[in-house]
Amino acid sequence: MQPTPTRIYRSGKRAFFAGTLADAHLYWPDIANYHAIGGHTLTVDAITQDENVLKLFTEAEATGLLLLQQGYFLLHASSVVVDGRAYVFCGTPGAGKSTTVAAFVKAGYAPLADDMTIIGFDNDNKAFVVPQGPSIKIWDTTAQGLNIDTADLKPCFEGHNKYYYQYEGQYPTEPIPLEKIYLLHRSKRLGLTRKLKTSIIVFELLKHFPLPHQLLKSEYLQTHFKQSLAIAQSASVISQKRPEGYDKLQKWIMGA
Amino acid sequence: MIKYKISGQQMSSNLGDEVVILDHKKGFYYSLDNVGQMVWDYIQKQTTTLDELVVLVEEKYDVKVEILRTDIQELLDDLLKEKLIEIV
Repeated sequence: MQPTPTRIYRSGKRAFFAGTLADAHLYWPDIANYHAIGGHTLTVDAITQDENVLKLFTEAEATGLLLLQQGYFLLHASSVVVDGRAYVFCGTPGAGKSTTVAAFVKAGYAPLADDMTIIGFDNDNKAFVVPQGPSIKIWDTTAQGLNIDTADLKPCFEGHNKYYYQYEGQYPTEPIPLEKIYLLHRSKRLGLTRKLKTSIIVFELLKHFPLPHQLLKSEYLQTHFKQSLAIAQSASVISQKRPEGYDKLQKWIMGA
Repeated sequence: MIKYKISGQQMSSNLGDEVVILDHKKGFYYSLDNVGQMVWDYIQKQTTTLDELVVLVEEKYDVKVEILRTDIQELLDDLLKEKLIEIV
């Protein structure tokens, strides 16, 4: 099958997709070719020689495909734990997903995801978020804005200005119940905060699907719809104007 | 009398304040509330006619029957056009 371009970009490169949900091929030019099969196998055909670059790409959409095959719901969003509950931050690029999670980590909250949030469902169809590790990636400008000294941080290799920022507290080992999803925006027109209707929630969750849009077809689209409804029923979804500036963001977190 | 039923290319969920419909063939979402929701709920349970729907809605809304007929026919035409329902 001929690979077709996706809408996924990473470090200036565009991913290509071929196959089906159960038998998915993801191609990153100059990086690697991935093949995710049945939720149990991910084959990696590396092109780049740089192990750190390879790791970054492998841990992103390629692993996401495997998780999707296992029945998880994926969202282009960052997430944190607040009082044992998961808060998820979604939004178009530049709306503040990664800055928000960084500010939460700085304030002493454990991160769950910095780019792609993994959501699962228990027997009662209640949504939970799977912890992905205590380390997140932050931009140098974010670090400066939050008064985090980059001299103490380990650089990533996804570009020159990104660093790993580590949460030092006790890290969760179990999935965390999903409490709130914030859809961050920068528009004055949309207002400060607003609870959303189910139809809007379902639509927004579709908009922030982080994997190839080629998968959003008949069969999987029905699964996505059902899981979105389950999320709409177990969590509150709020449209939230992003606090402008680092001070306001940190103040907002104190009140969260 | 024309009979209507829901089509096979959609799935829907009624969540109290509105019903959300997915056309999984086209990949479109729709939302209905109030009278639209009432009509959708009914049509989803059984094959029905315009007359039946008018009686159903008339019980709940204090609107002239002629106006109701026109409005519901319009809704049915929209649903037909979007292939969410079909003529039996």
